[in-house]
Amino acid sequence: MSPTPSVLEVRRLGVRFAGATAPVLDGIAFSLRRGEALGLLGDSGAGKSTLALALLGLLPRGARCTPETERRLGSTRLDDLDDRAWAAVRGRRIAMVFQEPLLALHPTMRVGDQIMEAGRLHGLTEQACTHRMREGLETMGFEAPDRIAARFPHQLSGGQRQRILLAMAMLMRPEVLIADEPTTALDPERRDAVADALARLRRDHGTAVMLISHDAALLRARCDAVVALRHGRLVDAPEAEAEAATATGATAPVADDAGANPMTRPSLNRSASPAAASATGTAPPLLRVEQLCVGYGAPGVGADDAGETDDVIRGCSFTLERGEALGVVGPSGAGKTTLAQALLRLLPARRGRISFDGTDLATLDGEALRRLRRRLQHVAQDAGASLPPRQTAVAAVAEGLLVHGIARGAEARTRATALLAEVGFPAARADARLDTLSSGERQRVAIARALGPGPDLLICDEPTASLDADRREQVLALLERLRDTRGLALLLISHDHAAIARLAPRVLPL
Amino acid sequence: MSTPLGRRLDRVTLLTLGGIVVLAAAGPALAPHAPTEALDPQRLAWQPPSGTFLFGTDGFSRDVLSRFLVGARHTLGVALLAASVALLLGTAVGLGAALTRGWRDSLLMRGTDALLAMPRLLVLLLVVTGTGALRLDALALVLGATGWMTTARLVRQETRRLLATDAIRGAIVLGVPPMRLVTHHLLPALAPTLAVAATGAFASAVPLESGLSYLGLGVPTPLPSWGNIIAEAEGDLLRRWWVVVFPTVAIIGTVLLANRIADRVASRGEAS
Repeated sequence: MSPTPSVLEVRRLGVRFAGATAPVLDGIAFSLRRGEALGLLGDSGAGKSTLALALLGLLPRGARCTPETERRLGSTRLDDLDDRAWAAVRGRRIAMVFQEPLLALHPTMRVGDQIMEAGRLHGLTEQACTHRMREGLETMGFEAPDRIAARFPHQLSGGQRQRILLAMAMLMRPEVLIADEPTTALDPERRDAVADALARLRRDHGTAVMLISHDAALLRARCDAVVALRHGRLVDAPEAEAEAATATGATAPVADDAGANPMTRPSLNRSASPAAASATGTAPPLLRVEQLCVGYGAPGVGADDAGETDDVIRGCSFTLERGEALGVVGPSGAGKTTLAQALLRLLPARRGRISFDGTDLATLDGEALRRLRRRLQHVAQDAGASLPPRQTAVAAVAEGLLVHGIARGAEARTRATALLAEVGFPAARADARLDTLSSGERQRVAIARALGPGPDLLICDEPTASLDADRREQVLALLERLRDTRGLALLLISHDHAAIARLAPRVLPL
Repeated sequence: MSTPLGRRLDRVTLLTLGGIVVLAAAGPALAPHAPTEALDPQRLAWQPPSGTFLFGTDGFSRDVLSRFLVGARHTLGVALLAASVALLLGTAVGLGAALTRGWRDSLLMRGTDALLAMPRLLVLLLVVTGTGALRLDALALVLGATGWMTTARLVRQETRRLLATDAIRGAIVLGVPPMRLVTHHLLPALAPTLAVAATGAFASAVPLESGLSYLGLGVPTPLPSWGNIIAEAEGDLLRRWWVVVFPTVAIIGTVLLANRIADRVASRGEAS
């Protein structure tokens, strides 16, 4: 279109995980010109984050670019770089804003210092650092940069943290900025503010931006071009949507035509899932959380608008569709487990609303709530402790079938044994008392137990924390399979970035 | 308490317990005389312990050893039944309060507190003077009905704690219905607490029965119990010491034993 040379040129990019038969990414080719914005859409697990990591030379262990891959940043061939050379490129010439703004920020360092850290590392003078930091914060729409710079991450809201990360990524004036779901966790107003900030970066500094998102409407409105990742390959976005409309069986159990009109859906909802809406487009999402506030004990008297209440969860909102996976991340104490407990009605909501398949959870009680629990299961953080210690593995799993009237007696036992086999639990240990099992074994029993009732939504609190690499892989593959074949929705609370990246395309930072 | 001494003490505890159970079960068979038989009111009244009468005789010339052996069954039986009643009532109230919460919980527990505040002996005296002498089973029921409050508080406390544990929450989230939650999850986990509560209820019932019997309001004469054997001393406790000492030692021993077992069970419950 224009004579501007491309700053990022990618050809025949492929990524393959060790031991995998098919590459996760194959034949990716695109280019980015100065100041251009490219939107990248894609299903869960399509490889969007993997692509971003490949561009930064940050692929996880076990994953490699295929030999024919060609990545060029300006005149630098990225494929030839060694670790030291990559370090000089990363952050300086190509920067990334990750999905989880809280995880990416150091909790005990003032955000101003964190923004300037890259400048100090890359040899900018202190004066230049401070100047650029202020300028960056202003660009990001902060009116009092110095006051913001003196704060710690926990004193900032999710949206503020997101913009801090952008300011951080921009400090070195990189040629390319990759932003992975920079707006997922934000309310619509903030979403626009962040998108405006990105537009200013492109205009003022000529930064090329690659915007990764599920939000097709946002990408369309804010990018010069939108492409989509499908089955590891890049396709033009309209084509991807057409394909989504026809290839319904592959991703979700409910067939409908919703994929054809992603623009009409609320932008916070996922647009790539064909099951996202019914044929009429009015079916409620499987889980909708609106302005949820949860705390312990009696509510404090602190002022609400200053965010000074003693609520652990403050105004959390999100939706989750059938067959979708949502990652929940955040430092310890951010309220991840509290959120899970509120969703499970183990803790009452102080304010806000949790709707499961259109039903307000707060209105349910007693038997109605118990029957709903069949569809809403949980794998607790300390899975071993969540099981009845004196029961056997098979009895613990069978109980879930029994209490929901799914199977009883010998049949329950048979099905429980099958469930245990599905999660890779050794058959010989099925009659061992739970308190004699290893934590990894108990973890798998807990997963089998939660799957027994056949839930629509599984809340997994650190499901892989106590597992070795093989078991972890097994459990993740199982969850992935259930999500894809049974349309099981997942709420994945984890510190395991790779697990979240693999299963959950969308991330909710707490 | 895993030292050799601790273990030996434990063995002593168990042996004593076994002895008392044998006493209660086989007492009548071991008794040399019928417990109510006046042997010779003229010549054999108030005989101190001797080769012929190991525990001496009382004012009716009845053999105290025989009365002691047969009375063990009444005293221990009434205490056991009373403890069971107390355990049942206390568990029901405690579980009910912990599971319902809200105003029902408050109502149940404030009621429990109110009952607990009344002197138990006074309540018993009022009941028994109102109804007159009670049959053994009725006596046990009354003792149980006035002795469940501490159990209720213990059970409520422990149930509240258990409801916050991952294991019970896991069962709730799985969708286990309330009845099954109680029978399959809460009660097994409450077992150590219940054992402590049961032994405690038993330990408090033994001297109460004896006290009531001593006052003539417990086990109705001429049926022997440890309490009414002592009552036979008719106030002259020092001169007729043999009717006092043997049942008293047995009562103290039984209460100590029950408390000892409660301690053991409690510490084992903590360890697991």
